[in-house]
Amino acid sequence: MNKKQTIKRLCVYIALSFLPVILIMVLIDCFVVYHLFTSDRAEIIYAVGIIGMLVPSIAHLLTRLITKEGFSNLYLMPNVKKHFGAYLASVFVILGLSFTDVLVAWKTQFPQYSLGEVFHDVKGIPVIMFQIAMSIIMFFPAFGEEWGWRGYMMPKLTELFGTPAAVIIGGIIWGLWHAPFTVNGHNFGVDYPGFPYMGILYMCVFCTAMNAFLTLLTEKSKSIYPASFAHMLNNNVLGLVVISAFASEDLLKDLEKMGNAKLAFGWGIVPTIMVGVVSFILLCRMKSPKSH
Amino acid sequence: MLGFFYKDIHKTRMIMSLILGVALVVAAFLLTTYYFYGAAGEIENSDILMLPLTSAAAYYLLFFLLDWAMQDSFVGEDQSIWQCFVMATPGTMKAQIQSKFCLTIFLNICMLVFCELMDMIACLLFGDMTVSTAILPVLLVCWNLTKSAFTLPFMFACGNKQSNAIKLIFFAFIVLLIAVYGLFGDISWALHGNILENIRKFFIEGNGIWILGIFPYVAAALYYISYCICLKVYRKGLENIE
Repeated sequence: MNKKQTIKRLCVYIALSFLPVILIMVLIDCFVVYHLFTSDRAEIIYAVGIIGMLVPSIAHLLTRLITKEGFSNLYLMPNVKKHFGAYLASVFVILGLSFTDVLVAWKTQFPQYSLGEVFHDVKGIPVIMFQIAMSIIMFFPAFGEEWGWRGYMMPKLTELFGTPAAVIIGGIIWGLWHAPFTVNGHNFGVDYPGFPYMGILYMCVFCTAMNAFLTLLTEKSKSIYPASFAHMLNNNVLGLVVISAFASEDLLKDLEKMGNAKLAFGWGIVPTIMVGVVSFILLCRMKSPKSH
Repeated sequence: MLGFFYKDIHKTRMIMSLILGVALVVAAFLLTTYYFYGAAGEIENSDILMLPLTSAAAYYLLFFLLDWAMQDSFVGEDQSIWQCFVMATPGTMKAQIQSKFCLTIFLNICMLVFCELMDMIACLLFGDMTVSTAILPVLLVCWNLTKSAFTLPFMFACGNKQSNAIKLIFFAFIVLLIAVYGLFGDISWALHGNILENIRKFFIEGNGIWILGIFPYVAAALYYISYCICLKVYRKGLENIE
């Protein structure tokens, strides 16, 4: 009975988080602009970005209300003092990933430039410092996603399948949730071989790796905030932003010519997968999560 | 700590409702302005700069109102009977001080979310991102934290009335600093051409970016130092206040 109820709640949650996003993107595609993320309608991209990220949280709330689950195990307490390490990891692991991405991209995609040209402009330091601060202060869009995926879906999947399978299934579901955006050119544009299937597949792999790390942060701290900070940092301080902040003008011009897809599909995913694998091992070693 | 936090929320609920009311009126006014400017089609450059400036003024007003809620949360707490009760609770003064610091962050984050959503709708109504002021609420949160870092220790040490006087002195000092810089400092970078555009360039492209980059960290450090000072001055306040 309990298992059936969990499956029912999970299905309601997944339906409520997928349907609005699909609906929004179809309506925009049909009535406003085709392939939104490659268009110049920045104001709509901005709005879709924020509203889309809030959908999983709203789905979480609605699922609890519809299925009369109540409001326990919400992961809303910060627990900063007990789990300060998780907060530090949320910032420094993502920063480490971003800078490793830059180095990997430099070695594989533009080796003709020296490292001095990649980290050319000293004004990149305050830019990145501000981006980090801004991501932490303005974490609410990422909270919107995290409270849904890590705060609701992952505990349910873990209850049904156990930690290892839950991380993989959860990552794939999260990756597929991005599909309506990917189809409209989000992250990779539309001019790449295998569009949009390769983009969706890439997002599933990336989301599975990130899901392991973000679930580890959430389960270690029993709080949703470290994962929210990490998610927001991942969105705002990704490798491309770091390169744009520091690179010399010549390199920036070359990057513009290269386009989104070539950069996004690069070897930059390897460090993320490595972090995902380590997190996955640490998660599996953790004692099975008890209700807190 | 949670108990004190809940008490503070409950105590300030009327003021918070009022602030929400004001925020909704301000939002309606701002969004209508953006809509009509957006519907008017092509507008002059000076107007494009005036719109974010109007938003900035509105955001500042909204963040300024949060002080009101914070002050309200202190009403009646500068009496020795309350402070003796606080000391007798399991969390002692630490829980009370933590709750005030958390309340400041909570209120500021709530206002930030409101302003960011308002900015998003404003951009949609105007039909362009050039009028976006998404960074401003983040800076205002940092400014409010800095302000609270200076005023909270006085609130705990001297009570509400005296801390208001100190707050006024703090503001007067900031205004004086700006006035002195305006009169005697080098402001040539701002005076050639459009002043607003020059200020924007100074902070985005010029050396002002360093100020933007460091400010949030200074605010956070001051806030933490203020918390440590509050822990020390609370007991002294208890001895001083009748």
